[in-house]
Amino acid sequence: MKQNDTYYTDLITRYFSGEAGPDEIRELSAWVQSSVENRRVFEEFRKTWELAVWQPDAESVDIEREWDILSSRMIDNADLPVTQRIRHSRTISFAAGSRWILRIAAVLVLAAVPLFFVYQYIRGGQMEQFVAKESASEILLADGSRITLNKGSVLKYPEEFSRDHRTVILDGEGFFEITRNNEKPFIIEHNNVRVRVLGTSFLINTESAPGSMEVILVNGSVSVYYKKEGVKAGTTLIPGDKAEIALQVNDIRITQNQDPNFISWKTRLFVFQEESLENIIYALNKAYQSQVQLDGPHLSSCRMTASFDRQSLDSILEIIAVTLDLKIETRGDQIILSGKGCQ
Amino acid sequence: MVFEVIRAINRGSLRGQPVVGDCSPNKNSFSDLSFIKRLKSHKKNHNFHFYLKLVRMLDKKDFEVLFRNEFRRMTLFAMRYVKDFDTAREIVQESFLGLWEKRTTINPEREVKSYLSTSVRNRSLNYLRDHNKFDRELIALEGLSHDAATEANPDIELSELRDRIDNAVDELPEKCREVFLFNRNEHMKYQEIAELLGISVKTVEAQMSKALAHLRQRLKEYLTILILFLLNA
Repeated sequence: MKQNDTYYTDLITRYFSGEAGPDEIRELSAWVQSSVENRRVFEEFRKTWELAVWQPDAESVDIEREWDILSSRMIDNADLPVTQRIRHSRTISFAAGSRWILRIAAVLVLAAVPLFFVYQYIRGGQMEQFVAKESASEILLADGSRITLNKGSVLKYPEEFSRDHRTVILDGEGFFEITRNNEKPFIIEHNNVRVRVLGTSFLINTESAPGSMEVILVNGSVSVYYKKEGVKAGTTLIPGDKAEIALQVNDIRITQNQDPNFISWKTRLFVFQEESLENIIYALNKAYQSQVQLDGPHLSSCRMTASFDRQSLDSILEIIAVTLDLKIETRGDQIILSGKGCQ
Repeated sequence: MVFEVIRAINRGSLRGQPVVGDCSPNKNSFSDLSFIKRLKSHKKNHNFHFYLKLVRMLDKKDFEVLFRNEFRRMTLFAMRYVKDFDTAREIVQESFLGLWEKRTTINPEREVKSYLSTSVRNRSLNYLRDHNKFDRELIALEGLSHDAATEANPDIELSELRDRIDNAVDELPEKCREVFLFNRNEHMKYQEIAELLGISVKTVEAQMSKALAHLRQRLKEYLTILILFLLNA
């Protein structure tokens, strides 16, 4: 009898853990049907398995990976690749159908403004490097992804993307528009932090504050994690989220992004709502690489509501000057705004 | 040991909250909690109720939310039939894909969730039949054969019971517990566990049986209550 007990316990355990083959299942079935006692034992084991194993918190499902897999099989006409919208002469070829073959033959660089630009193109080992020296610059990768780097920022990318992921390294600030490729997630590295995407648009600023970096998501979804912990322990962002990621300690904070001008340096679109002049000047300087200054602290608290759409710095300053009753003075590279101050 | 930490975090985690994030032994479940909150407000802000929307009108964004909410539950449901995690997740993947591809042709009166669970159930039964693993008696005994078999997992709300289960697992001898947890949490097959730990498959089998026997013993008092409880769930 004892031998039988172990035998059938083994069989039952194999059954519930998915190890039992067809013959064993038949055997188990016969045994269960052969007596009421056997049947009861089977039921008790099943209940035990249900309580101890088939519970939600015992299943380690990698939902990100599962979604990656499914969405790569879902064809949606709304997901036209970015390259089809680009109006330059270089042809980027891709295989017919839903699969992309990635090749990085070269990188096309466009300057946002002005039309001339200076860049450094360094080959270091397998990684190549682009430095946005003179102005914000746009990089177009052969997979159609577009990265706009703010002035002074550096992007390092490999000569050829590896087989199952596209990885780049960022120092500084960049706005990323990544084309969807579900077989090759796009990963941005900075320090020990990883930002992982499929295809989406978002901003990363690795110099937002000392010891931390910032990721603001516009569209799609990204996962932010530390290299050591891996993607399973990371945080997923949804559009509108702003993640502040500490570099030395494991600390990721998510808030709603409140700043409508976080990519004004790229878009030249500004929305100011009762915004202090101090902040307005800051946003303008960042976008136009200018050195606008206020005459004194009495001006910094002046507030204004306005939006500007790709206007020149001069015309924007004129509007501000008229609105707040200020004078504009140029001293070399600097532009000084002076006036009586607000209420 | 790692499993201890995961359990401690999960004990304090959400109950009665939407499924997203509830189910994973994520080491950083704090971020899961806030993700759920943000997802909830994201849903509110974007003003969609995908369960109420006509199936045909689901766009990819809605579908993603549906997927994230339902995938784990559906996988557990499939596992009851096929007993194997990898098979279960593939079946659920296929069911979601099927829903996506047929979304314009499905009866608009049809509720999305019921479509999914029916699809998962049918594919699971087909899998069993195709692999000669379908046994009418066992399936019936497991309460899986009739159409009313829902995907609702009996949610063990009683924290006393949860604790009892956790303690029972803790009580297992070291090696035995390791083997059991590799099988349950990492979904490893006997062969894989044997290779990992450098022991024979027979040993793995013996440890697994030992674990299950011990758990059955420790939960015996609850099993009769539960048979009634679960029938009513």
